[in-house]
Amino acid sequence: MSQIPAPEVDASLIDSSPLGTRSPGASRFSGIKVDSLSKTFNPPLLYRKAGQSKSKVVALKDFSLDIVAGEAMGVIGPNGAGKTTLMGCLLGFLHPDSGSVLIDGLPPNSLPIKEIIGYLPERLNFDSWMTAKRFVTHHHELSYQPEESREKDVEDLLNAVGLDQKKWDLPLGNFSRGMLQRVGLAQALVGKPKYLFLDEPASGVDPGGVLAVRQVLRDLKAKGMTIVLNSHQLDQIEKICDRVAFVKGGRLEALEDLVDTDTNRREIAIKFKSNPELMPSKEALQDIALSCQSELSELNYFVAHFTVSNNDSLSQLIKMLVNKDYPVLEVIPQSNRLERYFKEENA
Amino acid sequence: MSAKIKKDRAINLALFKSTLEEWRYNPAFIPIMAIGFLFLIGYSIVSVTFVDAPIHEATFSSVFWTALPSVALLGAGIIGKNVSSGILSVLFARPIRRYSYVLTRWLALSVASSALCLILLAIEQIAAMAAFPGILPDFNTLSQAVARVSMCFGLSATFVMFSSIFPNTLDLGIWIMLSFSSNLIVEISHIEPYMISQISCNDLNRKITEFVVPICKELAIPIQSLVSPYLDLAYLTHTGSVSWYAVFTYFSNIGLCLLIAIAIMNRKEVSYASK
Repeated sequence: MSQIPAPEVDASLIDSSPLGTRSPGASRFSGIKVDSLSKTFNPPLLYRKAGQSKSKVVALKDFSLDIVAGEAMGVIGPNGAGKTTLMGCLLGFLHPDSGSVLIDGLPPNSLPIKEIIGYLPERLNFDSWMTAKRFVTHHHELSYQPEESREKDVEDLLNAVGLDQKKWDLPLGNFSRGMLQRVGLAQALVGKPKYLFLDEPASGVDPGGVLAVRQVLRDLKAKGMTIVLNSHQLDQIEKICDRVAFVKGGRLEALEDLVDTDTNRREIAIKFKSNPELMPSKEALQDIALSCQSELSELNYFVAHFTVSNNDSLSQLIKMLVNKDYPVLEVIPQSNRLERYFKEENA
Repeated sequence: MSAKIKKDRAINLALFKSTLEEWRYNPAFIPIMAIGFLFLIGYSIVSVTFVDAPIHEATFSSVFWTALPSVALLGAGIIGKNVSSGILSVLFARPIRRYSYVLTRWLALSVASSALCLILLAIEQIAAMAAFPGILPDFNTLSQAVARVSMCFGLSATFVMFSSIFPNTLDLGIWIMLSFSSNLIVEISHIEPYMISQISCNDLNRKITEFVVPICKELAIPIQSLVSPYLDLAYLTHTGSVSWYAVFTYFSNIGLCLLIAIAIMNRKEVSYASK
């Protein structure tokens, strides 16, 4: 694929507020601005008439978030948290009860915005009679891309998502979910969109596909594409996104900056050489841990589990163990940051 | 953004093309159409040979029974199926106006069903010319062509309207129900005042009938022209001048159906979160 020009990101627009909300007045905000979005789903009329107890579902409640152009934003949360509703509102598929969504200062339903967005839905309900190549070509036509480069663009896109060339001329009805994901991603990338909305892009994809999708997304991010990634795969979000929004009960619970690694307590395991003579005692490890604002949580033969406060305390801990000639073999992170967040939430 | 005028077209050519292709790739389409054609042609032959129907009547199948199967086969769920399956969310992420989607689907359905009806008309004309030398295309052929095409465009608008309201292929069911109701209303509207006393001996029944019949008389034509709108060239010109009222009614019905469909589609939420 050809290079996507990196957008100019105004440094003054980078978010500094705790939950990503920006003070009003930034009218020419380059990026996605979600302002006090609320959305309630009412039960169907038949339910209401039948007097059934199906009540209103508050999907989003006073949800505000700014996504700066060029940023990769992850959206995670439990099932029914409002992630899909948020995605629907961002794309103009749902009509919010109150609040607004602006992309580059325009509502998401306006044609100029539709020209610069790409979308991969979670439910891959594509025209099953179309072949993969015809499907991507169709979307190339729909997005008014130049006819001269159509064939080359389509082939480049199918190659980029790693779809086997033998499958290009098969109807989508015969495709597995993993193959559909790849075709869907190729479709979403038609026209080199500035904003890419992905709903579970690696769901159902084989391990090779997960890596391929991740690589494609990393490349796109490096080229300046703004990515909104809704995924349950914490690992994927952590590897691609700059920030992650935690959604729960229709609200923005927290906003985590994944670029800044020097935050939060976390668990690590330190593995020592399996030599009992050189192995430190439990008391010795506890003393060392305390002196570096850490805590020894468990000693299991030759593996010691620590809870460290931050990056400084981790490096200090390793340094002290090495200085005392203890046979440190490796340091293993016990959970990534997003896993830790969920663990803390559940606790 | 640079070519805004071009992109704001009411008819989206890429969507039009893909809609026609969708029918072509449907495995059931060709066999059902072939059976339908053979049935209608066979019916004409039987009418002439065994029933001894007048040649000009037997030459062409009924306008209604050629247009309806074509439109129903191609158009059942023309929008509702897309809404139910979730295809629209990917489509509406593209620079397409919703009214353009509705109008394009309607035009594609109208053109495809009209083409099928005209092909059948041509086959019938050729068969008639072969069976009865001397029969040539005349005003009757032209009238048939106009009636069939106008009914295809009219029925398509009705189907598009129902399909934008109801999910999947429920539009066909609603249309059939409405069609039966309109036939019933037409039958009731034919009841003359002197017949009422013969039908009902009960005072209450008589009063109800007296109340219902005039309403049915008023409703019969509007409902029928909504359910199956078409232009009958022979009727339009039978007084020697064109009946503009009938022409206006036909086009206003189509316009109304399409406006309702567009209004509904503009408010429709196409994310599966809303389900």
